[in-house]
Amino acid sequence: MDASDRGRLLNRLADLVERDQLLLATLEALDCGKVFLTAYFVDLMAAIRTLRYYGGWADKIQGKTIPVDGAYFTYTRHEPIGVCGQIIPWNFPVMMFVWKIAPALCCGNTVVIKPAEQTPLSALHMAALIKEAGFPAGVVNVLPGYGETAGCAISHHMDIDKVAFTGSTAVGKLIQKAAGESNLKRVTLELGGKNPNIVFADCDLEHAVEQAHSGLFFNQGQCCLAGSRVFVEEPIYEEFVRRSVEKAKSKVLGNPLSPGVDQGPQIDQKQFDKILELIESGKDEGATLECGGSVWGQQGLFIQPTVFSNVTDNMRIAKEEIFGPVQQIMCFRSISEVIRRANDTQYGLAAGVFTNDINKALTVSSALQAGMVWVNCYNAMSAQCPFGGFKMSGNGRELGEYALQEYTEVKAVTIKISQKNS
Amino acid sequence: MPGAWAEVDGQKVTFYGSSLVDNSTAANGKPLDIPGASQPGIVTKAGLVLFGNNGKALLVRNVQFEDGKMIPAAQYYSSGSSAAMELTEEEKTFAEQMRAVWQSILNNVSKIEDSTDFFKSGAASMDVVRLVEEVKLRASSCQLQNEDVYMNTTFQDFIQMCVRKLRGEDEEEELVVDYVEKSINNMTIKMPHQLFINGEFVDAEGGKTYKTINPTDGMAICDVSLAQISDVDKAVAAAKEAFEEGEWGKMNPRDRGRLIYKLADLMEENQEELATIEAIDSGAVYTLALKTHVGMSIQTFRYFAGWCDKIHGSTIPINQARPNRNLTFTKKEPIGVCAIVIPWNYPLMMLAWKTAACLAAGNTVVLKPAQVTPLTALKFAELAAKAGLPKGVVNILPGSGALVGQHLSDHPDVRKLGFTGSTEIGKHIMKSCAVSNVKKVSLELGGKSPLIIFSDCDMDKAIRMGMSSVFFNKGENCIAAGRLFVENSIHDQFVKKVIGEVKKMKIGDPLDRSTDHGPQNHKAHLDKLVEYCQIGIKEGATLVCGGKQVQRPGFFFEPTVFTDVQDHMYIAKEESFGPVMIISKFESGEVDDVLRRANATEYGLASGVFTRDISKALYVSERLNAGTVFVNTYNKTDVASPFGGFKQSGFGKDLGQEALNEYLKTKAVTIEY
Repeated sequence: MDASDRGRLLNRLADLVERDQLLLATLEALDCGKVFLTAYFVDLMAAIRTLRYYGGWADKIQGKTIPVDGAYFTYTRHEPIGVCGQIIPWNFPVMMFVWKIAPALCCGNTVVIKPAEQTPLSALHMAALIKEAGFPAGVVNVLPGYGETAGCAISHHMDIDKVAFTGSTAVGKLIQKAAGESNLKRVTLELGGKNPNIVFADCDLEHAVEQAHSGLFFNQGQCCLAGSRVFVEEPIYEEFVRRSVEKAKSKVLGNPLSPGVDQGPQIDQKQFDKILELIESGKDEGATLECGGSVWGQQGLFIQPTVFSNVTDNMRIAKEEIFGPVQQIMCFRSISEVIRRANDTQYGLAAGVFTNDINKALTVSSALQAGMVWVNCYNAMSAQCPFGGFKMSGNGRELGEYALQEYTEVKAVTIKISQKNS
Repeated sequence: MPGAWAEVDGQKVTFYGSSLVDNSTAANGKPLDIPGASQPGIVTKAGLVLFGNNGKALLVRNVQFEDGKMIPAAQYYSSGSSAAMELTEEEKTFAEQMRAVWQSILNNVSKIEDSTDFFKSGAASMDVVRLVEEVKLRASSCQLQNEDVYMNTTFQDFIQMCVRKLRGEDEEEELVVDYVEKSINNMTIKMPHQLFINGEFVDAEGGKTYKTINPTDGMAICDVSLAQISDVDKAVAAAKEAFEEGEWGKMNPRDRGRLIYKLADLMEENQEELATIEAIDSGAVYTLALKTHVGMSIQTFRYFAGWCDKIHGSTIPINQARPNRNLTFTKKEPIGVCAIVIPWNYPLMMLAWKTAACLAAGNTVVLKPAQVTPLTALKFAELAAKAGLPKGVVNILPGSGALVGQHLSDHPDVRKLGFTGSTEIGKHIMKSCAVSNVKKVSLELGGKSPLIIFSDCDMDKAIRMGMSSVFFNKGENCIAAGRLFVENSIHDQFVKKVIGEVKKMKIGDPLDRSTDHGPQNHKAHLDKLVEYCQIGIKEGATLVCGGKQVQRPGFFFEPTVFTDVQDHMYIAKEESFGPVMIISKFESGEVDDVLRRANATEYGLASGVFTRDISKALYVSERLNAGTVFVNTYNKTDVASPFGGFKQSGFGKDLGQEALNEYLKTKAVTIEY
């Protein structure tokens, strides 16, 4: 098929997702506990935009001609890798599905994708839309299943040429190992984070409080991007904590399909228990519990929005990814101190900095070891912008032009020529 | 005059977005008394027309009242600016639903009052999208644009605006087109025939028109408005306003892309009609028009629509100003108002090649189609309006090169001119662009493209491609192979087979599906071809077949073949732009000599080589001085592959990623910290 035809199929799929936006958003709310409006406006919009964006790339993936030494002519072809195994998490089911398939299909690969066992429904509806859009049979295969069986089989399979995974760092290591043990398949990993969000005293305080709040509590705190270590400069520390607590307390919990609700339940019992256990550790290790700290309501897996102050870097809640509605606020005094502390982690996914001083903004954003740095904003994402982590937050990039590199093999063709002319 | 204001009905009204218009704009409207003005203003469907003391008219698009509310000036009377309209029970229910929506978006506001301002209460652009979608969920007939929210920021104004939409009082004024209709080719074609300026079809100044001719029978198709100097000024002003003030300059690049995709879809829906118009206006064979003239135009818009959100700048590691450090980045910005002047050989496709890249980059455009082939460009204008491109983004001015083309080259508000046409006119344009305001210019000019056929080629393919390299689109093709160099050992065989093929070509009505060869584009061109062939005969080349007009009505010219053409002859050097094959021999094995002869021209547009020897193919393609080299094929252009010439064939590329650069300017920003 011509590359431009692949682009048209992706654009057609985008139209179909747009047509079924309401249905898909409802499925997300039911299956994942996601607040409906968020699913509709954030997850689905992002999915549609990503499909359209990569629809446009399909016929623009260009190789190069290269002026090599000697009487040779060399050019490169960017060829699809082949069969791509893709394993996605439960926190943004349909959005992750699209982030994975769109660049893979755009480059001409075929896909075997496993949605998380907790959230298979939107992926299966997407499969129906893919068929309706007219993708040839076998191009996209959707397998709901467990990690230890289906996921394991994908990462060990000898006929799968590449595996892309989004999830925990622990499982990411298993996948990279499996790739090594089997056929050295290409691996991209988008893993956990313990993301620093640095707030200087010269920032727009109300804006910073609001962004730090939504940067953590968005999607019940179940984001690899969650800004779970908020470093606040000493002069504004107390006021920042006060306002953050106020915001956390004002959150409305409830059925994610009800209007006005802005926090739904956690995904499952296991995560629920883990979050509560980490909250307990925070209390035990001496952090100040400003609000929340326990379950909410009589039924369902709800956890009160929780804010800890006086958190020190050695506490578990300052080191481990919580993946829940628990905000840690630390105090700092100098720019060099905060850079050192922010980078003192095995993770390196995202980071934020709030300041009106252009020097601080650029110095800190250069020094932070993270795949994404947001200045005076948080969670600002777009289909054009690459996404992925440093260090143990993974390797490879999703989205943007950069994702195309993860789904193509470069072939250099060198032809002997009779006479050199350049 | 941003910020200008006047007292109207006892309150201060500020005017936004104004442009000079001619007085006829105010023909239909309702007068509005403005104390102190020489005559009353007039509220028209385009906006509020004000008259200066010198009698000149000014059109104001938006007005703002003392309370900060801004409305389109055209709705001065209908918007109930002072008195709010009464809501029905049903509308009140809707209003209460919307109040809840506002409450859920503005969760830091304790209660939504009528005076609550959406943005002053902390809403961001994401919230605008959400609000628009929430309205759609509750009242599917109420399709808001983001702009509607920006113009009605308080809750009361917002509800009033929604209700007006629900009641159908706020309908976008419909595009009025005075079509010329014709029943032809088993369909009814509807052709706009006026200038397209600022989203409307209008007559030229003084109602000037000319006739566009169908070359198949030499008869007039219809009258077409003939743009004058003042029309050019209006179009440039509209394009400038659309770029600087309008929605086009502010929208997200992907939204711009969606509009262009939509336009491509509309062109596809109307492809038979477009191809039919192209066939009668330019003489293009219908089936070819469908596939190439129209088909490739659609592909071009789709291709560039995808580029909109992928126009990247770079960050650049410059040497640091130690002990400080630096950040340097580039941004690729649209240029502004671009003029495009195109030829008559592929009227719609030439429009598409330039306009698609120009729009994808974010510019606005004033385009002059060739005077002899204006109709598909005007149909395109209609489709662009229907696709929702904002007013003023695309303006189409049929007219003469000497007047309209010249004025565009000279215009101080035009910052870029893209031209396809002859080298002679290209030089003239470049000079005018330099003298006026050093506008950026790209030129895709004439060619005399060599096609070299070696004896080790696939002969059947070389014959087939050699034929189309010359006779494709009646030879009215800037990359047409202007000279064929055939290796001595296969020369006679090649000529014999070519003559056999030429005899098989069916000459006839371009709308007939079996026709291979239609009429030349217009009479003057036909006359030139006759003269061209006579010079060839006089200088001693051998006329093997053709060389004269076909004896039938219309402007048909016989497919022609010359052999024994020597390098010094006129027909070896000059472009015919018609169905004339010029064959020269070269001695077997003399690769470097044939290269020297092939390159001995001031043109460098395209070229071709046929050989099975990979080394020879690469060697020859490296040595040919031309922007395009075809190996074992010809005319294989593609929207993703850059197209444009070397030497006096011009500079700047159409198509491919490179074409974007012609419509962008790079800004380098260096920050020290």
